[in-house]
Amino acid sequence: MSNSRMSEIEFESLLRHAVIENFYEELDSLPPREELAKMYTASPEHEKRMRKLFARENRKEISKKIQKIGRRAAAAALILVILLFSALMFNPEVRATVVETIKSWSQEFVRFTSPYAESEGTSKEPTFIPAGFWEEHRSELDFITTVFYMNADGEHIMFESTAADGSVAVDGTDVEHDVIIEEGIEFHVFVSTDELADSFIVWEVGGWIYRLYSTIPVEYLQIMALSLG
Amino acid sequence: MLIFYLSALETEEERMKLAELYHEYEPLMFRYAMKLMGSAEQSQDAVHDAFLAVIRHKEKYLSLSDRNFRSLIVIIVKSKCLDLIKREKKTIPVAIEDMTFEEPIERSGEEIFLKNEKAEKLHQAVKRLDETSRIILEMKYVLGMSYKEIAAETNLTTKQIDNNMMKAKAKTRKYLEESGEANDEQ
Repeated sequence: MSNSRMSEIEFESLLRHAVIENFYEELDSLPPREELAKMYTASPEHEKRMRKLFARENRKEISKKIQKIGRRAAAAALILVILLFSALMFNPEVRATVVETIKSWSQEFVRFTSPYAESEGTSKEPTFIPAGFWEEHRSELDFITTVFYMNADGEHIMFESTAADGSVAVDGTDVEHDVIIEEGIEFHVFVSTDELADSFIVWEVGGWIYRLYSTIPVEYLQIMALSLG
Repeated sequence: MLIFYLSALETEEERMKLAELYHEYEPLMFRYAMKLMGSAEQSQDAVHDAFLAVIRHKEKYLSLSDRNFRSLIVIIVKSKCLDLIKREKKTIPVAIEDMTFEEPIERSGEEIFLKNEKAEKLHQAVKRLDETSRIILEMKYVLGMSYKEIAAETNLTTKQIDNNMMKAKAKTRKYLEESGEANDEQ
């Protein structure tokens, strides 16, 4: 009995060894990559399909992360809105204390707020979207709407609208800030000095604070901003 | 914003890594796929599906060493070839279970003399196995996959994997016996 069992163990061990040896013998006997590349060439259509596959997976990952970050950011902004609203209801000194606390939260952030404005109607959205982009994801809360656009190359544009009795903070580090006035609207343009980081535009219309950010040229964002309808 | 940038950078690195791996192993994958599929178009489908499988488990696969990833991608592309054949219900002169990838190599007498005979016979027996069995054995022994993982990659059930393994072991043992190298001690 024990001999039979040993035989089984020996067989399993030899089989494992044979499979592994067989596999690597075949693999290692193949010509190097350069020679194989001369023998087997993919069609341009296949190469395009593979690029899209990688871009699509990239978008899915970014989209998932954006949803997570978007929810966190929306929650943070909501808390901010509630804090400011509460402060307005009470002693102005208390309100001043709250505002000071928020300002000192992060020196790198630039805060946009218009606490006395009331939002008119519903927020608007850009009617111009750069060619090749489509709406990938949308999130709508009471005070904040976020729309995420993507293209086949994995580039993104994020559009956000926030009710004016709220507050919007943007990262003011590694950007060049400019103010452009078009059609009576003051656009704050932040052009990133790092080509891998987003540039963004912030502006207020009709009691709504709008934001656009992307790594695409900021001129496209300006056109989008002006196209609000 | 900073968090978003870092997240995007991490994904961009992954994308570049995937593209690099594809560029490096594409000819190798095609070589194996063409052998099984016979057509460039279907080989390309198999290569595409293989990389889709890599992306699904990228957290695990992208951290593999070059040698291990090379083994993985070869086995996966062979598995996807068989998948495609089954899916298209291709009419083949030989049943899938009886397909073999290569003819057994006849080794010189001197080579056999230098190697353990039993192991050598088993080596030859493995070469005679059908392609499905070989891929399953390679996934188990070369890649160290569990039955569940093998089932996920091959679209078979764990029961089918188990049956296939048992059949493959029985076939190779039978080959050993017929070669006079069986070692059944009663």
